[in-house]
Amino acid sequence: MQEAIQQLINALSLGSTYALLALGLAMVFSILGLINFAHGELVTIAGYTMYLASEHGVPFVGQIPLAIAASALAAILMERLAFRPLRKASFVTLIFTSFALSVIIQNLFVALISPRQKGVGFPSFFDDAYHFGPYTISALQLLTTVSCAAALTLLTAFLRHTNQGLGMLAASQDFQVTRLMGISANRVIALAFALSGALAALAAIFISARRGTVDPFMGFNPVIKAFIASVIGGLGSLGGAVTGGFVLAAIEVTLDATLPNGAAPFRDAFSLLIVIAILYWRPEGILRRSSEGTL
Amino acid sequence: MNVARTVRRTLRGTLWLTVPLAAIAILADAFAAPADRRVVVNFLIALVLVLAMQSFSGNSGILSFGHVAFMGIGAYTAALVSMAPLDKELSVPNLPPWLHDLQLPFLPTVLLAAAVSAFVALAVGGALVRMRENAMVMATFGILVIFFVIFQSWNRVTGGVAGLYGVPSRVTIWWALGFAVFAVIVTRLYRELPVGLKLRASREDALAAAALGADVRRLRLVAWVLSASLMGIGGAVWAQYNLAFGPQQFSFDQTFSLLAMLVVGGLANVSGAVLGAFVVTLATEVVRRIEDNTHIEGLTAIAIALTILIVLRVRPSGLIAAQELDDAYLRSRTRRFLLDGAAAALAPVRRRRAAPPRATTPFSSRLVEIPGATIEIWEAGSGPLTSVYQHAYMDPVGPFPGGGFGEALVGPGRTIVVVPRGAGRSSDSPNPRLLTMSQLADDMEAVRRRLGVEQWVVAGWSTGGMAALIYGLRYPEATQALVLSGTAPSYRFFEDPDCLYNPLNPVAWREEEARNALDGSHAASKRWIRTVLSLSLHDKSVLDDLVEHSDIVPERLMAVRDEVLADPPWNVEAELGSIRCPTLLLCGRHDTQCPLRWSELIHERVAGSELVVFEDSNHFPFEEEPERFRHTVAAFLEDIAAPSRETTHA
Repeated sequence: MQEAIQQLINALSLGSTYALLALGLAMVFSILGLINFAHGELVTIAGYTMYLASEHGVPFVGQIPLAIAASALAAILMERLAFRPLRKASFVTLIFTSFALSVIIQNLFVALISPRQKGVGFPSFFDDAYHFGPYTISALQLLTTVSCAAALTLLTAFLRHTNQGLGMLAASQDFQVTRLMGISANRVIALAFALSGALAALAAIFISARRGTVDPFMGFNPVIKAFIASVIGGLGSLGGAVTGGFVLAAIEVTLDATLPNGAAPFRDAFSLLIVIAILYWRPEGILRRSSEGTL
Repeated sequence: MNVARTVRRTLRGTLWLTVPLAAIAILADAFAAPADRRVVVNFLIALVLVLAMQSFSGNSGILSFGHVAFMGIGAYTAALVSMAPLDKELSVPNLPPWLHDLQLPFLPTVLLAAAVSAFVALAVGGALVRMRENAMVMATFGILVIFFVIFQSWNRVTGGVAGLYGVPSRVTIWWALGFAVFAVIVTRLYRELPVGLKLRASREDALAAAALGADVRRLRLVAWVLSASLMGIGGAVWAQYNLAFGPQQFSFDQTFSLLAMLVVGGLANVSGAVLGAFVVTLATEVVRRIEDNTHIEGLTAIAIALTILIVLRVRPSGLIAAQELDDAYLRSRTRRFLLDGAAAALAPVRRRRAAPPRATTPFSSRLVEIPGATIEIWEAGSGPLTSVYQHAYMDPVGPFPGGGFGEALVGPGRTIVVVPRGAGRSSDSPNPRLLTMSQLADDMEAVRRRLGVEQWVVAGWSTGGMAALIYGLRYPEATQALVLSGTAPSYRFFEDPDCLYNPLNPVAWREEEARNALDGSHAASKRWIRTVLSLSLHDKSVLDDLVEHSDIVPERLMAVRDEVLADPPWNVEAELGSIRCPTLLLCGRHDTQCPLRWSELIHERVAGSELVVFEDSNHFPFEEEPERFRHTVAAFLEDIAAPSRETTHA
């Protein structure tokens, strides 16, 4: 029981990261039907922005808005340059374009900065651990969970109570009708990309903090997790993405705890098997996309 | 399908690919430096892999990220049974004794690799094909990761992260060529024979294909196992050429690399896969030389990715999007030139015939105000009889807005062409419900009242004929007669095997692709028109002229399609019996939009109706056999007018 609760605590912070990543991916997918594999590169861009900022002496608190702005801007540029001309293209073409884009960005970092990883510094209190009775939670975990919760609350408020946000919510349900209502397609799409960039940046902060480094290929794993989490929760549903993130984290943490030593290296394989099984029984994802609302 | 003939034709067609490949191999063997030779051999091996992926993803329409897992299975299997026992001890010392001692010659290793891959594919495929398409794509992705983890972690058998090394070198350029040719032939045959053809039908519309008898799950499973076996063969050959490998070779990079070749070349056909592999390999080699010389790391990857982006921007469906190379050639002017000389090449595709003069009577346009809208009408002619003509989604082009059909109506009396909402100068509407045929019928009635016409002859073709039917059923007192060409009384014509909109029809994808590309631009509309017209004309000599004088309103096209295929779909078959007015049905024998049997159905149900079949026409008898069309319509209308002439005389 105690073991289980500790696992739950671990799963919370991991799930928060996954939820942020999945939400960013789902934001774009729900409107455009595009799975943006270059989303991982938004994480990388945020990470490198923090690295470069710290090289120039910017304190940690200053790096955060810079990273968010950089990712949001990069996302908007991505949309404008790579995806807008292909708006009517097929699913395969779009996925491929996002793959190609991600390869380009990764290798730009390789060519312009370095193929090797670079260390990033974080405030030392990130490593502190707090103890509540028999349970432990690190400052980083706490911060991750709290930031995620805050971000989700802000995002929900934005989506439900501002005109722009409502426009986006509507677009994620039925884009054509939303346009018929007079809402500008380009603006909604740009907003979706910008938000996905911001969410990626937020996740990047905690990912880099956990690793202690940034490297050109750091975005790869996050986008895979984001993709898996979105699919579990139901592609296209924003609430589903968040749920999927936590479910994926729960699966991973549980497997970590329960797999015998010999099977431990196969954890990812088991985790994906479980995901495939979920998809087999619920092909639309756990939270089926209902027409009533996605949040 | 005549299977023997298809096989012969397909095999002849593969020569287009296999001969150049053989030429490349011969040239490389004779002249190439060893490093370049390696490139050619790797290219030929990659062909096997890319073709395997094409045979699944291209034919089923389901993008698979997981095939590289089978490449790995084939590679590891082949390596483990081809390496000398002493060599195995270096990388995998703890193999079970029977595996440790086993060493097979080349072909048996490849066969075994294929068998193991097929076995695994069958095991996972059963569950996989039961999933819905999107879930299946995700599952293939899961398979890639799962096997990658297995390769990486099952140290005892796979050597873990370090992998296997010391595989004997058994693959020469000739073996590679042989397997590449084999792959081309197998995938091409699979694609053209019924088993692949039905799968391609399910790619267009799975539900429709299933409704017409295709067992979609079984077809996908067959494709899955076949492509996995071929992938295993490719992996086995790859392993015995590259001699050392680890789990990293069977992960995302390899997947992206192969998929890039496939998507750039064209997912839907074998020629595309080969061309894509060739182009990407060539580009990679060129850029790699530059990267080595300038020491800019990452340049190759960037260049290749940029190339892919540019190709996808310009040709979103790949370099060879449509037919296989040999199919395209068979229909091309080049072939006709080679066989029959210049005169034949320059002649139109069908009978040589001067394009008949199109309409010659100019109409004049004015606006009519009806409640809630403004409707533009075109008028010409005069006489005791009034006829009204419309089409549900075409944008009438003045001064001959009715084309050949309008011309046929003008002679006998006054003809009014009604321009529907969203077209011409009639009111626009963002609401798709106002762009339907039903609304058009109501608008026509409002126009009639506004103009003070007592009764009129209602005419139209295709969806215009359907709108005319709707009008005739709603306002029978106002309908003096019906003149309908190439039309149908319900949505069922969509399911007719002869109809070009039926997803099982091999040409249906062309119309769908052109329709999906409609973006409101003039060019896209013209492209759709040209695509549809080229499939709907028996006499192609009128094609260019007709395309030039036709225009559509894409929103209306979509609204009308949605109206016909609504839930419940449009169907007035049961009401046809209530039509009492004189009805003239005209239809081309070869109509590929509303096939003849649907006009025959209307003829059966409408008492006293007349059906005239045009033996040399498709969907446009008023353009393809204009003299006979005009004559028939004129005779019919004179019969209608005659009674009223008698009453006025009396």
